[in-house]
Amino acid sequence: MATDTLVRRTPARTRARKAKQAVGLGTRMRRNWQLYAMLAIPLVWLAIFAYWPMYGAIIAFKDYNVVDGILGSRWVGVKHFERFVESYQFWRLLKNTLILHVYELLATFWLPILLALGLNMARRRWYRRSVQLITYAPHFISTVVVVGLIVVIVDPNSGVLNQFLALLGLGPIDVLSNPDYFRHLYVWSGAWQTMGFSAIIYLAALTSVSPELHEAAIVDGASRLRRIWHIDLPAIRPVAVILLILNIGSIMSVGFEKVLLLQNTLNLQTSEVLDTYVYKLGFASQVPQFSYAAAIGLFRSVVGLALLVLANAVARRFAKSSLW
Amino acid sequence: MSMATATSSPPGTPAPVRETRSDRIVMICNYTALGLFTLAVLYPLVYVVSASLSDPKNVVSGKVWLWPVGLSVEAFKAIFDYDSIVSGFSNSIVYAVGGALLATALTLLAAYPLSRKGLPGKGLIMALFVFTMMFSGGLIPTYLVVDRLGLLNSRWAIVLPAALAVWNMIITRTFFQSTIPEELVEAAKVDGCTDFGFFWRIVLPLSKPIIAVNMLFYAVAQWNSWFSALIYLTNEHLFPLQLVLRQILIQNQFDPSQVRDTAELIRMKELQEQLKFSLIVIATVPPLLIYPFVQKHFVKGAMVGSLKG
Amino acid sequence: MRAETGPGSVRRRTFLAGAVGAAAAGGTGALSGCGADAAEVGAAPESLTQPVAELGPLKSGVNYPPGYVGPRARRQQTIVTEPATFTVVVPQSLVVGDWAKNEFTRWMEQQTGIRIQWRQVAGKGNDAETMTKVNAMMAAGDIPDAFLGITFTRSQLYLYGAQNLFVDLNPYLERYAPNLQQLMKDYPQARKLMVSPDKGIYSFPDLNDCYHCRASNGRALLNTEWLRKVGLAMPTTTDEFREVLTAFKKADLAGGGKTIPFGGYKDAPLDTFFMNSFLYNAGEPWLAVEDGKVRANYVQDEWREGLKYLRGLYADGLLAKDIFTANEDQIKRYGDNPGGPILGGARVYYWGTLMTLDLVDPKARWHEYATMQPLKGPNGVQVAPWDYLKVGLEVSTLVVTRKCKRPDLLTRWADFQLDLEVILRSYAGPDFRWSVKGDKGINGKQALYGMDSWNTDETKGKTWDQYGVMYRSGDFRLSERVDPKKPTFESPLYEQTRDALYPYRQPLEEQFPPVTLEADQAALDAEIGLNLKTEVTGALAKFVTGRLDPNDDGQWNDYKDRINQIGLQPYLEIQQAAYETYQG
Repeated sequence: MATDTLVRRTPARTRARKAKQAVGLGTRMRRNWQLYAMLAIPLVWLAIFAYWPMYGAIIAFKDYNVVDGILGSRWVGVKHFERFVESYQFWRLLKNTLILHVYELLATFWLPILLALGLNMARRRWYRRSVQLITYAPHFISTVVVVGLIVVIVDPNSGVLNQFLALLGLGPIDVLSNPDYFRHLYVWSGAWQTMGFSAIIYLAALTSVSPELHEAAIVDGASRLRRIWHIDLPAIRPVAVILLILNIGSIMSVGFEKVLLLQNTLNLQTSEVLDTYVYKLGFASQVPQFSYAAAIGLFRSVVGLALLVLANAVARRFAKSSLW
Repeated sequence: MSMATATSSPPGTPAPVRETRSDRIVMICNYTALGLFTLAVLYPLVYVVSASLSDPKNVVSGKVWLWPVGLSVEAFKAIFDYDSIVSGFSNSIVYAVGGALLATALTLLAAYPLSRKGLPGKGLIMALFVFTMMFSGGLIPTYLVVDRLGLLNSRWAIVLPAALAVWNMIITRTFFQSTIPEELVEAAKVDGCTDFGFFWRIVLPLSKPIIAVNMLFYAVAQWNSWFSALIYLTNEHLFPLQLVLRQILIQNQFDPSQVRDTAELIRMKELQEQLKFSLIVIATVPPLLIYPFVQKHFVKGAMVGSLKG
Repeated sequence: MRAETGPGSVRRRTFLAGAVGAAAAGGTGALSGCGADAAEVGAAPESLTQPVAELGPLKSGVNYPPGYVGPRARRQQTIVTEPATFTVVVPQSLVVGDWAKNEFTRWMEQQTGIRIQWRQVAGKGNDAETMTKVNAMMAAGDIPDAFLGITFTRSQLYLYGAQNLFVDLNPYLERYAPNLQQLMKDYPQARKLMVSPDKGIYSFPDLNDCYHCRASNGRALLNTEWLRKVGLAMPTTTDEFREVLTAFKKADLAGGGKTIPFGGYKDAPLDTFFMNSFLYNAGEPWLAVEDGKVRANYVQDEWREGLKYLRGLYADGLLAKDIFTANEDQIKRYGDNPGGPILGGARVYYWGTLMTLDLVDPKARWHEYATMQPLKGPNGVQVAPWDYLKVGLEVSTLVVTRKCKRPDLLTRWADFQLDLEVILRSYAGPDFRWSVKGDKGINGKQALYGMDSWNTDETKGKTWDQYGVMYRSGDFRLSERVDPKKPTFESPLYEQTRDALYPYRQPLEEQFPPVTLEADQAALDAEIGLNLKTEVTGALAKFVTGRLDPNDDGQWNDYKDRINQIGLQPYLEIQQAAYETYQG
């Protein structure tokens, strides 16, 4: 079936492979010239807007100053990296950032999938459409307002949360000042805000499922859950795996604005992450620290890339899909 | 090959077979869960709209919790007092539409060839793309490039550097991989179809959902974006809506430890409280309006149903 | 999930980087080296040979209050007869509107003959947004003749000034800035605050001598109505204060146990009020000068005594539970509580942070709250930290770059704006009024001017929204007419600052001044400073809320060890050196 990417050994493919071995590289490239022609425009774009500026990353190894420029500034080797790795907060920042991102990933990765499956299953059109539209909207509420709402809800004196807990004979708990709660607050409020928007991609993926598959399964007496498991999930899987890989690659960054707004002196031990630290350093500094910032950025990129490659290898092996 | 014969039943039609009891339970659970989640999301939305329509005093003192208290449209009036709002609105539409068209085109052009099995050099090219997700030259070299190209302070500076998001490209490629079967390509080749022809006549018509998603994501990203405008523009007549809205918010903000000029402070403070909400309402309406058009393409079996033949 | 991980997050990251400086910065443009285009940049020789500018004759019909020190209205002449045009980068402002079409812009052009080509940058001029853009421009060599209202730090001015990117205005100020010369006579500290370590002056300054701002950090309010109800006087010592709060709590004047004896919020530090009963403490970065030596307050034994005192208050339930976590909206919700006040007092900057102000009703709630004087501690310490140096003279108002051929003309253009009438036009718009004899100002003396429509819709597009160069002396600010029908809180703010705080100010020599750092030092200063701040504020909150115990020697010593580990010693050395440079 068309959707089933797992069926690899179709006769056509085997034939193609044999043919590939038979003809030389040059011939194959010539045969595909139209595909290369299509790729040309995006590649030119990539060269200009992504690769041309990339030489700038060398300032991570220099003491950059405005007058001498990128190329003229003095080389200093790994000085900035050493300073970062040896800095007082380095391990705490690393730990907080990783935990927060991994937690976010674990908690929120499957939620949009669930939402998409649920929406896909719902048959009343008006219901499905209005749920979709409503859940998509919070994506557009600014972080400031979201945090404002959170503060109102968890307020120790009058917030809904503590009124609810009081009904159960619990609490009150002061969520904001307790470092243990910070991560839950961040992650679950994020899930609530972005789930609808993130589900769009899966909804689109589900469109590729042929209704006939479902009809055939129904005739065979498969229950709804079984059909989701055997028909809908496999349709989503390639996209889900790719999204997971990409997410692992961005492990060193979190939604910094929200973290910053949720921070206070009492929860800093869990809420200070790489991004907020760099941001504050920028504010604290009387002189912009271009090179140091570049070094931190490069560090983050290297870690991200390493994890991305790793995740990709794992995915290629076990999930049979991969980035390259 | 008859590509366009849709044999499947129209979407949304109930399946002909009677449901079992367990299926009905699953359905009920599903409807309930969706309903509860929707309510949880709906509340802040209603709150934002109500707050934007309330007397700011009532917002600050916490009297507004669901419906507007002390109805007032002052905040909206205040917003439209700023001339730059109107130009910001039209600029944003230009950036969003233009940006989405350009970026979607580029994305499809990159994603389709890279989705094809056995294209020599595919892995390398993919790696080139993925690498840029992790490494970037950073702000200033990019600024220099935009400057060299003579794009500074023009609309192109907003649209061109954002003309492709590798993330979207990868998703689109994955889509092609899982929905355009290699057999189809082979068959088309046998029929004498070129790659261009196949892409134009078969891939594009089959990819409406992912094209819609791309258009939506790019348009929304442009609509929400203000950073490149901040960096590349020094002519306020080119500012997009989001940058104007930020300016309104920022400039009505005060650092309380620096209360130097207190006379107008209170008025601004109250206005700020209300603007916070009304600005969101203004900025959210267009993306909400376009969503149903995108939604139209999320129809079960829209693609594969037409593939039979 | 994170469907927005696409373009959005990339941008967010870029912004982050921009805030620090940029993830990677470049600049091979026109600025690299002084090679080929060295001849094209820099001032033209005739800039320093123009006739020296002098103060014009005073205009008549202005009622200066007796003893008035500040700007005066004079007859000024046009600067150029042949048109001269300069490119100037400014913050985009909703009040100014389009700078090119602004009314004050046109007026200035008419009066001075100098034309400006504006380039408008988003942001506020002093925030991360503006500076991200400006740093990118600088690094790319895309610089204008001058920056107006863009706040470079002192260290940045010095860095770029020493590299000849910014013009040293010393020779120009001497010849072409008579109004500024007068300002420096009026404010003897001004010159010291303007010069860089290499004696260069890399920007044309601005002066805004805001009286009540100088005491902002030491301000706390207490409910006098409640004091009356519990029959106690305004407390003057730490013990009396505790008594008052205990009485508030006991009497539960809000009813239903809702009383919060003393509140606050996370942006108004507690230590700037309470620690001053134990040692002089101006707040972050918690430095003071003792006999010429820079001292860090947070490792002193007096600091620990202060922590013990605060711990006691908190443990007895006299401080709000969320005093470290509440945000501004939150404290305002308490302040505005419908049905009557629930706050006995609070550490806030002024009434407006505590509640919505009703300026019409003379019985409005905010009138119940009065400024406390600093509390006398067990050892007799009683200080209201007074900011002599950081409030007032501001550098970086107009920065002239080496692209500018005629710095003399821009200097005269800036100096022109220091005239009383020009200030009022720039600040309040063309509708300001000279006061008549008998009008009362904020300080109760003869008023000089009134500006009823200041910063309202009427003045949109007519003023420069405080981005211009101005000389707002203390007398100038306080001689603004108060409309008896519509009094603002300016007068009570002034009076209470004068009576409750000013008498307890520390000597000038004890204040740690705004210093200028070399680029290397600035990097170290930023990093250690940030880590110290995290530790000090975090530990303060923990010591007070009971997660740490200030009475426990072990815990106090651990805290001090952490501070030392972060690098207190090298940090203090940097500050000491910078302080000595400042002193000259």
